[in-house]
Amino acid sequence: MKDTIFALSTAPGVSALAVLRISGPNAFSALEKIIKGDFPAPRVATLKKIVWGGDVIDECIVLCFNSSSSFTGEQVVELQIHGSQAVIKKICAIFLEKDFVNLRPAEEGEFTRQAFYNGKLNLTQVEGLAELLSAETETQRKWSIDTYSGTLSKDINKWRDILTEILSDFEANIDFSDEDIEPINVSGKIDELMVLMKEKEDMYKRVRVIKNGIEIAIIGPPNVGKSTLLNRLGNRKLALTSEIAGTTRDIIEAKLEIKGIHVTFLDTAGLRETNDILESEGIALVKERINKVFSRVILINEEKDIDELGVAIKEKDMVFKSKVDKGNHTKYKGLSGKTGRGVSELINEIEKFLPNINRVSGIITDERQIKKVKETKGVLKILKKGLEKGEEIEILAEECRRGVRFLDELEGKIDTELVLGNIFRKFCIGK
Amino acid sequence: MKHFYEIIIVGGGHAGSEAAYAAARGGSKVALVTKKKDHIGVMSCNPAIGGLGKGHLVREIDALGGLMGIAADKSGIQFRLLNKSKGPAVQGPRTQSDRLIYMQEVQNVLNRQKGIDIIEAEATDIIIKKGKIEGIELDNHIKIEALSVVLTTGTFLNGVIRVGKESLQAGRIDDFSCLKLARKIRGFGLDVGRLKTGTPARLSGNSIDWDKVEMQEADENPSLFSFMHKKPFQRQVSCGITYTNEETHDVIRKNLRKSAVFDGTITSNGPRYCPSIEDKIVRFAEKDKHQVFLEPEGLNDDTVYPNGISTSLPKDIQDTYIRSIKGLERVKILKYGYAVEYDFINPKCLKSSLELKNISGLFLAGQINGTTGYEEAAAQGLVAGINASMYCKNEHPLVLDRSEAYIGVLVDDLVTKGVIEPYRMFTSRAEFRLSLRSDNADRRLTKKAWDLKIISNERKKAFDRKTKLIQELIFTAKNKSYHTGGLAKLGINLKKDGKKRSFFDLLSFSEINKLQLTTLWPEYFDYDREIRQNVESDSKYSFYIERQAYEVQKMKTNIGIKIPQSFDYSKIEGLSSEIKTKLKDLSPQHIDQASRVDGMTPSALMLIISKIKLLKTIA
Ligand SMILES: Cc1cc2nc3c(=O)[nH]c(=O)nc-3n(C[C@H](O)[C@H](O)[C@H](O)COP(=O)(O)OP(=O)(O)OC[C@H]3O[C@@H](n4cnc5c(N)ncnc54)[C@H](O)[C@@H]3O)c2cc1C
Repeated sequence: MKDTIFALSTAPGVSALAVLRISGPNAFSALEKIIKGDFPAPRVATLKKIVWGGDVIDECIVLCFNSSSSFTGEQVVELQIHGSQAVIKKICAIFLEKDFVNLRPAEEGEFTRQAFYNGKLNLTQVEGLAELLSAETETQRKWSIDTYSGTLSKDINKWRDILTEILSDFEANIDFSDEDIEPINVSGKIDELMVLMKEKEDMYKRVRVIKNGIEIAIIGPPNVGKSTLLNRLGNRKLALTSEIAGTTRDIIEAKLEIKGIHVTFLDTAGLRETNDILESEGIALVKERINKVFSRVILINEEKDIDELGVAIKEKDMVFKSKVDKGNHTKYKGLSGKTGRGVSELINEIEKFLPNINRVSGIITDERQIKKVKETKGVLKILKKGLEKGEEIEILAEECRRGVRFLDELEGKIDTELVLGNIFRKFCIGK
Repeated sequence: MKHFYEIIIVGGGHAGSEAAYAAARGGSKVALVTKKKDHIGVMSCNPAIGGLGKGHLVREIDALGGLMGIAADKSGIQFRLLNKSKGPAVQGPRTQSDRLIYMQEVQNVLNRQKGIDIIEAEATDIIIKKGKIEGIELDNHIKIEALSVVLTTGTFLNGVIRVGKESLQAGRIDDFSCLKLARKIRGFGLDVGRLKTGTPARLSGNSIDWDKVEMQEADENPSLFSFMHKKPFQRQVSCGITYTNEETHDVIRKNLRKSAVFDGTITSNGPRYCPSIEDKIVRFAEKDKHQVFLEPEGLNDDTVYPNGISTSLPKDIQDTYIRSIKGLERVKILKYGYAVEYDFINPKCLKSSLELKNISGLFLAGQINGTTGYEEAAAQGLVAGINASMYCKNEHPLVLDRSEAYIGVLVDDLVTKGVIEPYRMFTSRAEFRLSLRSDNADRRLTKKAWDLKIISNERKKAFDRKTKLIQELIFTAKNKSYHTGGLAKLGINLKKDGKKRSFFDLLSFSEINKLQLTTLWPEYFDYDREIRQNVESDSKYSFYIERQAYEVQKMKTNIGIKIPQSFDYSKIEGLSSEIKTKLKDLSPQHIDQASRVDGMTPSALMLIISKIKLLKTIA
């Protein structure tokens, strides 16, 4: 017999409401024991008193789901109780009483495990859910909800369909070779699939950028207003600023979410020749780090500052005239950390460079997934080469099956019936 | 009057003959009850044995001492190895048989085997007490007792034949329909369904214009079925190939509604891979012609079997569309085509031994289990016959694994997945295809048959001789090695990676020719072709076979994995319900224990392991 589990599904601590979830074959009988009157209709929010030993413990909204329509694939009961520690403690204690129906506290992730187990979620959906629960930015939230709702599964299904078609072509030519069957014609499909997998690989690179966030360095001559800009961006005082050149020695960061992506701005020690040993060491470090960042905001007072800084301008670098509140004689746009003028233009510039994830197709978000994609692509390469070399079809079919297995590992299942079904649909077979 | 046998086989078709022969070889006292004695071994449909997947089955039947390969060899009039241009793993031996000789050979084998009584009668009832078989009752009300019964009633259970609007109760043309027994079986609470199949008209060879059709010859170097035979026994003949055309298709299209399948009379599923000509024309409307093989049914028989145009259209329409085909303009039709519908029992009710789960001692084999084809029937007959015999002796049944034999794949597919359309063997059903070759069927199975004492000393000796030669050849070939530089001088250009290549390795390269091999090791060609072929196939697939072995090995390292206490086997797709029940009852604690559960297969174990692992990754 499977266990019935329960857990507090909202964060612990005092709150207005708390949700207790019960899932498993005993969920309904557990509820029956603690309420009076009619049993709530499934999926209808119902106000009920929780009564135990003659005492009213709490008044709450009860939601029931049949196993066929619940998240976990088991009977599920959700109690929206008052968020008081006393209430929560009391109800949990009741659930664990000896003569109560058999319930036990859920282990971490166990509800999801039930769902996966009962075939309500596949593996990539589980991963999507994990991603969703830990999402920090808007972009992560969007793509993890996509994965959770099955967009990646759709892609994988499509790949599997194509690969199964390729396999079916091989198999048809093996098992029905004595009939007038069309010759193998799969290169187009292999190429198509290669392109699709390559897209995912490229996308994964961008995804990694987004997941890890990006860094933008603010550089410029001493005292140009870098720290002021940083403080403006971070909306609080982060860097020590003063009128004395060279005040900012260490790298100071401000984190911002732009278009759903973590962007970390780095304020750097003023770049200038110095005699101060400490300061010059700082500069070396800074130079190293700013070479690695995603892009740089270069603040200047005058155009000649660019040359004097000794940094080569790269594609994604943005040059701004600082302290624009005091005028601008350069050809560059201006901004002022002090008044905030021009800061939104800066953000606009940055947005243009941010990696974009097209949400039309599913998103690969972790190492495990990309590994399977790469393995499948490896098989495609073997197939391509094998076809060119005139390798025996039964060997190509064997490789192709391995490819399908990788996709299965990524998620789901295939069996030969699918391949045969394909063959019978496509080819006229039968003497 | 009471009669007693250890085993009763009902039905003398391909399943029944093989079952009777296997059970008797196992030393049991067998009664073969069949409606017409002189119909034993009849080929209901096409006069051919073997083919892709099917040829593998016949080789395996032979490796286990069965009769199909022997009868096919003795009656074979056109041996052709299919897929000759592809690798050895997917080559399938096939022959057209002289229908009469085939039947006589089957009857000879059964008559000569001791321990088989052939009883000419119809079985009308099965006697069961307390879930256990006790015997059968015949149409003359005589009861026969037995410890075990094997039912192989083929297309006869509630068989109905249809030609256009005409229908009659029969399991085969000019034959009977097994009605009483069918009614009884429907009362057993089994999952009984209906399937259909069809057969084309038979033509008079003398009236065919052979000059107008292409001809296909037999192989020059025929591959026989039995490991005991080297050369064909009969004169080899060719068959004709012609095509349907637009006119044929027009006639059929216009008269579709007169076909029993298309007017709604027949609703059961037929084999997708063996569609009627009506089916082909509807489903593949864009094709403007379909191939038709014209196969002689025997050396001294004028009958020709037109392979590819089975039908249930009315007779006058058959006349018209057949005569629209090139070469058949003036053809004389000897018998008309028809479709047959029959009862089958969903094989999910069976254990892997082919014994019914809920009636001990009762075994089912052949078309009654929803399969189609002589070879599939014979393979099951062999398994059921052996296991009925094991049952009587109170010994463990023979269950072949999917990684061991096509027979294992066949039985496992049937009992695990059940049947919704007639089941036929294909090589693509075997995931271990590269190791399950027709050339090594004896190396995979004959030892087992010897242990079961169901093969002759003579066969054992021949087998030992062959294995010894193969082992010797492999050993020597692996010990002869060459530098890539030296090989290049012979024109053999391989990757220069500093590694030496053994003669065995070289055998896997199809681009290396006989001359080059002779130069390297002249004595190699002193070995028989059969021996060399075995070794060459081993070499060719060694990389893949090792990789598969590695996967199996990896599985074995999983042996210590703990199975969670609440693990729910019912949710694992692809496990047979039998295994599920056993696992649930036993609730093994780790994989090692699960692997020892009776009937557990590597693939089933793999399913369980991957499920546990997935559960862990998301925990
Ligand atoms: C019209 C037709 C078309 C076919 N077409 C194809 C095809 O295209 N491709 C293909 O692969 N296969 C085809 N087959 C199937 C092939 O013939 C069978 O798969 C194969 O013969 C099954 O073998 P079996 O031993 O199960 O049954 P069968 O060969 O049918 O033998 C059954 C035997 O049992 C006997 N019997 C039945 N009931 C009783 C009883 N109560 N008492 C005593 N004896 C009984 C019968 O007399 C018969 O001898 C066709 C069969 C038919 C009839």
